[in-house]
Amino acid sequence: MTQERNYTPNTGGDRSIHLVGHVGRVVGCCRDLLGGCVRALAGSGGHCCGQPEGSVMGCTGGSVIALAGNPNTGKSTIFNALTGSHQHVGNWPGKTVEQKAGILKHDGQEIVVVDLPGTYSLSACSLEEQIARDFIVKAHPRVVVNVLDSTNLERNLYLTAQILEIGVPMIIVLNMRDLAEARGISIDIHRLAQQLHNTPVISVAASREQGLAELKQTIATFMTPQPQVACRLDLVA
Amino acid sequence: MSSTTQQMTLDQVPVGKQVTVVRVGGEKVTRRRLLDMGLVAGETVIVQGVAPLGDPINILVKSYSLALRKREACQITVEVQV
Repeated sequence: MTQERNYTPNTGGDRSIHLVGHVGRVVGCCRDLLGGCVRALAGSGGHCCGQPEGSVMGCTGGSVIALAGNPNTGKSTIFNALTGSHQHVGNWPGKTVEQKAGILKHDGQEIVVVDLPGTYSLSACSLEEQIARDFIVKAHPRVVVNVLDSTNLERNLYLTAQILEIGVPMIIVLNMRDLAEARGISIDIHRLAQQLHNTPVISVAASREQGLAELKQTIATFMTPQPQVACRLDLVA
Repeated sequence: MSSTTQQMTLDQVPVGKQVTVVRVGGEKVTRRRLLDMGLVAGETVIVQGVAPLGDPINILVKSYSLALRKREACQITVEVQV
């Protein structure tokens, strides 16, 4: 934990403390609101991802990333592939109604991955969407992994544009590459990355575990200490 | 004679017809959701199918299928070429 504190920039240190508190609060409040079914999970003696309660929060130190995207784009599949957990995955939208956290171990680093409910936009109308929006906007994850359905880019990119607008660091994951290929859709990811202000774009097929190594690598680049000089100047100015 | 357009609500559009969205109305939350999903003014949609009892209807918007209840579809004003 101390080590992780070290490579957070000055501003990040405070932020990580705020973040840990916030994770707890959001989970707590959606538990209260969702009532029965979620309380049953809480009552089963641990966090819903099987981690003992508190352990997820305890080791964060600010290395938190969030999975966000439209409903039914494969966020939970990617979550499971990254964290090795066995979150329930279903082929219907609206399955994840609260955020779930798990740990990705990469090169000896522990990164907390938060699986958010699917949302079409940041102007949330339902409770799940509000949870997703609040986490992206208020919890300041180190990076937001925006999962897109490659077969349905146009609609999916609306949320991407909104996340870009609020200026959160982002990685774009074009999931379901296999399905897109089968439908004869080919995506020029370099051009897409260019048009989205050089946001990293990665094409994966999470259910076939294709492209996940590259995704982990890209996530890791957001975790390493970066000379935050420009960023600090911005903050000062 | 040049083609003219006719306005109607989406639930009145015959299957297979391509129409342009003019206005999305309805309750605030539903309207917001429909706009988020890409059903915005100027968008071209195709009515793909109507369930046997006329509700729900299936439309193609931004190259994906979207099912709407009749009460949602009747809040959407569209323009049809006649």
